[in-house]
Amino acid sequence: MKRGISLKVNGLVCEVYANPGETLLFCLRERLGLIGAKEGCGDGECGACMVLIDGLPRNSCLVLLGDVENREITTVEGLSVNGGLTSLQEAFVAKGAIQCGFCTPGFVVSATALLARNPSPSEAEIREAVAGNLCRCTGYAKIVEAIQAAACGEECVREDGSLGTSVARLDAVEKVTGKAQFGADVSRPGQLWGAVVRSTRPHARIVDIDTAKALAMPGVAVAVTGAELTPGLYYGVDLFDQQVLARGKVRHVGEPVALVAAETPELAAEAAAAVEVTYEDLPPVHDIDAALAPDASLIHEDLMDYEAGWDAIREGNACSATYITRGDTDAALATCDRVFTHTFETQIIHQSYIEPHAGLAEADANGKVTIWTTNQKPFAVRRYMSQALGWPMTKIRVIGMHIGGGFGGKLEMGLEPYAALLALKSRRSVKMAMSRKEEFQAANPRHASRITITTGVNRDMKMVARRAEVLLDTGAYSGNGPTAVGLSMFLVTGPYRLDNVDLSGKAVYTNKTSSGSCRGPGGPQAVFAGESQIDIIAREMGWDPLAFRLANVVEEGDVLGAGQRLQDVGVRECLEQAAAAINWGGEEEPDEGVGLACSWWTSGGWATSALINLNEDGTVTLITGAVDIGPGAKYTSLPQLVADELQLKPGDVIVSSCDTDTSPYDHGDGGSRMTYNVGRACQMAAEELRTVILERAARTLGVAEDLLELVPDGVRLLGHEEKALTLAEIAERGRVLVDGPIQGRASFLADMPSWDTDACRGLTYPSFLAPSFSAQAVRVRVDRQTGQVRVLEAAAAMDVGRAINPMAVEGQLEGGFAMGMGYGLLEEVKMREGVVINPNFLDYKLPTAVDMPVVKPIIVEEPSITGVHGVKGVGEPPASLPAAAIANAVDDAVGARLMRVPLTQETVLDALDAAGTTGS
Amino acid sequence: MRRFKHFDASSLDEAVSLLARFEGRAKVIAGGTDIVGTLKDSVLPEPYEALVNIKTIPGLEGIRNGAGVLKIGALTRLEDIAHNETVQTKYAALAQAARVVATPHIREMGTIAGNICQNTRCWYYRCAHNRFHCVRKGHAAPGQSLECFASDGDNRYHSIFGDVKDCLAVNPSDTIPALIALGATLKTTKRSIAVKDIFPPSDEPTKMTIIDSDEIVIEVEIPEPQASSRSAYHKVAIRKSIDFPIVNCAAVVDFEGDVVKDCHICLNAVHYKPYVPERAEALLEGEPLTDEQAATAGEAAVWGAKPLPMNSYKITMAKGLVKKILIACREAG
Ligand code: FES
Ligand code: FES
Repeated sequence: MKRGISLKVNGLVCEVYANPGETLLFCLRERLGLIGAKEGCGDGECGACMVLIDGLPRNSCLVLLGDVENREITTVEGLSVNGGLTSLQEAFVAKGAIQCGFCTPGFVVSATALLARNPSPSEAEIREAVAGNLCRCTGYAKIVEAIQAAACGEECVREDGSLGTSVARLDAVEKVTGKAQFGADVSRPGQLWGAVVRSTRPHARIVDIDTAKALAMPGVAVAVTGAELTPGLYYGVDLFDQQVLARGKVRHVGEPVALVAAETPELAAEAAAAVEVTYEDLPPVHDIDAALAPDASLIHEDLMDYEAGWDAIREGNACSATYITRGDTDAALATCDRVFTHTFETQIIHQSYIEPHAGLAEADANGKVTIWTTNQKPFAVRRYMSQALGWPMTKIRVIGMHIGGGFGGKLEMGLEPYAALLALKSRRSVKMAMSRKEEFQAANPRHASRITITTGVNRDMKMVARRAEVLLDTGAYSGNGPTAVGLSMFLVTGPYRLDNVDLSGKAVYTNKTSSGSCRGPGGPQAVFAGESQIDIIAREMGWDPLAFRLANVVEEGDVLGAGQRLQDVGVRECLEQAAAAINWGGEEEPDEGVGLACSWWTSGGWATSALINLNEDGTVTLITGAVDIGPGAKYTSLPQLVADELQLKPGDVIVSSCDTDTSPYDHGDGGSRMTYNVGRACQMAAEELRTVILERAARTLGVAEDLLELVPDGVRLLGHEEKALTLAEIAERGRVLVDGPIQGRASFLADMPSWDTDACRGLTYPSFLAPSFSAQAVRVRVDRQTGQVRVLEAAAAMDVGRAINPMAVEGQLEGGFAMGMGYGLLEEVKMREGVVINPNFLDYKLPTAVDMPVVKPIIVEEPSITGVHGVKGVGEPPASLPAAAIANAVDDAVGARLMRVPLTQETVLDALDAAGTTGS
Repeated sequence: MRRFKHFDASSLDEAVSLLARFEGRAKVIAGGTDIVGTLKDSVLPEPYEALVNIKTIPGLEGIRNGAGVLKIGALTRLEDIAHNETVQTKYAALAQAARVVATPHIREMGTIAGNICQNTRCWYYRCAHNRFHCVRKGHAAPGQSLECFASDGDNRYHSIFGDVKDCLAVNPSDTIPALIALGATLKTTKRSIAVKDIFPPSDEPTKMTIIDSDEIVIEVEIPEPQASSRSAYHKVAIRKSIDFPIVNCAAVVDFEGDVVKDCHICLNAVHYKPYVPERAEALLEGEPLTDEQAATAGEAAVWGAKPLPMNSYKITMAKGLVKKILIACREAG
């Protein structure tokens, strides 16, 4: 029932021909090209789609076109005046309120409405006004700060300074105005919409797939099933056990079985539902115990035949087994004063980036497919697709769009091969986006775990041995399980000096959604288990948990992990500062308690390269294959490092986007690796550029190179005030006179620290590059009537080596704490027979602005000898500690020790009930 | 989202006849915050064919303070109720309830009638694409027997007062307990009916209310409380925003000095319909409202509760909540 509908958007009247039952969000984005309103959930729960209707903020995903005829609609695009930013937008940019930026337009719209009706709101009023907007990146701290700044009329000046200053992100303006293009923001005239037919069974043989009914529907263009693909091709992160479309059998609910493309998203969804798949159910394996049972049904019959990228130990349903042994744990445990054994469990959580997977694919005349996508590893997507589909890389081009948060969840292939297959078959452009429900059911969440730890201590507060068994439920495919389990084992010992460790780990297949990487994979599980036990022991022994930790933390030269020797260790300072920040050891109110946790982590490695061109005006273009999922290295520390080397300002650096056809290779954004690795390559390329500049200048001026120095915007003779040549002159000479354009380039692959190869087996990632150290402290209050745990105060300290951009580092500490607090208190993906029963942001609970305490970020700098300017990786660790710190604080507050996260109200209340201490 | 027809009704008569024409396959849309999600997710085995927009009907919005009665138009937005001065002073429980529904943005869209008539949030029932075709949805295929997936599933947020016809879902409304405690009445296109009476008898589990598919709520009327009475509302929810209650409760207590003259308590999210703990009300009346009395009333309020394997904690919560609300009424002077 389409009809003409007249809308008034951003002051202009526009007439659309549409169904009045269409959502306003769809119309704005797809008909009017106003992509500033984002779809994060489609259910009114995330606020990314916020627009003003007659001045009031509304979730445009719930508003039907017919209901807004002739009403005043203002989108984020309509806020800025004459192309400039509003003072609120300016504050968002300057205060670091923007990370991935996907939530930003929604927050800006909500806050604009707030300030219009209440020009000087309190902090509580600000938080309340954005309580319907979810942000996964920032922890809300800097967003609230920005709104406060705008309300007070504070003049917000963007920094454009040197290393160590809080330069505003180079992509902030496009994000705050809604212009930045994310995965779902690319469109082509005449595009089709793709949809995935997903398994409804946890474990079943596919008997038949019939697409006839779907194809007969008007408006449905093509369908693709696994039978059309080259058989026998697998891909994977470490273990190649996955196919693009299920063949033979399905191993989890949500597994892609077939594809369809149609004229509209609704039609595509209906067509997907009309594809008839006949299954023959196999016995499902729902948890670790069932998977490891001797008679368990095998999820991968061909496990032993899969290719693996490392020396894999595998058996039955365990796709990877890993061992680390140092010293003699049995003997040490036999002689120490006390031995403690505990088992801890953790849940599945979803990364919950607010931007669902999305992208568009298009094929050219040669059958080469270009895919615009929101993936953390565009080069790996090309590699995986080539492996899994048997296409040469000359037929695949991946272009990285802005990424609306990743947290590891977009490290693996998402929709890319599907859109590509549909585009090839239909010869049309195909756009795809996952719904929030699909995200929960079929992306790659964090592993659930069961960890058993035995620790021996002596009465002198020394830990002498730790034994741990780490079991990760990796779901239907190995995903990042083999690496996550190894990382977990590294973390489960804590950053403690231990001469005797005996660690084993398994990543176990089950018929659940396959788990992948999530911010510090394996980390929060191990830290929750290991650091909870530290407190249990301390309390049992009558020791102060801080003192116990300080008595055992590693120092320079100690051995950790798989036998690597440590350098540049800042853990003691982190612990002391975090504890002091919440007044550790001070008076406590009734039902209040404090808790601590500390840990270590790697600066991720992996190969990278960079290319820098000197432009004709003396600015530079940094061409990198790096993408950014939100932390912002690409738009802060990388240009800062380049600028520093070349005496420029970060604003003088153009940063390219990633295109596998034109960008130099980079591994991808994940593993806390960006500044350490890509930063190093950028610095090296800039150094080369600088050398070339000086060489050329020397030749032009006819002097020796060592008589020249680089100064802002040019080169001068030592001891002279005046510039001899400007960079523009040097560049232009190269372009038109001699030697050609000026470039610097670098390739970089970090050397991993050496480890004890005899001490470990089956590890995919055997040593930690430039380890970082962290400690967090919290103060909580427990409500004995409701079981509710409120974090009142939190401090997140991290030894980051060197903070190239302190504001960006703070953003990681604050946002990481929020994510970790969600893990500790609120979040869990719940399944029934493999079906996720809470696949939405109502039942799956991310912390909102009104739930977050103020988090005090503490930057500790113990420079890494191997890091560029001393840096260590920052992104992941802050999310690994909060659960442990909170659990420890809850025990301190009310004497309830919880062995499983999340510490939801009902589990706390049940624990209090069991202890007979509910009520007041 | 499934495609459906969308009608703008210009009068109640037109809306009613449209609804009647679709014989239960059409739904009223006002704020849209509940129904649009249900449609998008294809929650029901047989989706609605049409939506009838009643925001185009004049006169259904606004708060009017009449002689001894407050009239709230069906389409009045929750945010407007929360901030209305009369509601805040004389009908505090309602203002407090409206104030904590979902998010501020949803409160700007959601209406009072929608909050009263909203569907359950049981996660099995709500699972997209009708993944769990449960007893509440009915429409069993021949030979299919329908079950409640919460009974052997994750029932931490389900009923603590047993099932109705096997269904364990609860009523999640924030405002209903306040309206019931305040003695509100609904005026619809068919009748005038006390809010406490709009819930189906226990043999009709698929319906949230007995309001017919072609019946439209026009107005909520609340009698002015005695000057000597005070009301309060509180909700226990996981987060401070977005969430539905795990348990919520409203009470209106009329005092004569310290002594409780009359008292109305209503819990929600504990049973398929709002739960009025009559034992608790009875034991309070005629007695001074001490802390001990409030605690005893809390105990009495959950008398007869039959927790499920995962939700006995809700009983602890409900007890504490009743006590807290009663004390809040006492202190609210
Ligand atoms: S997309 Fe509208 S609230 Fe999430
Ligand atoms: S910046 Fe808010 S979700 Fe990424």
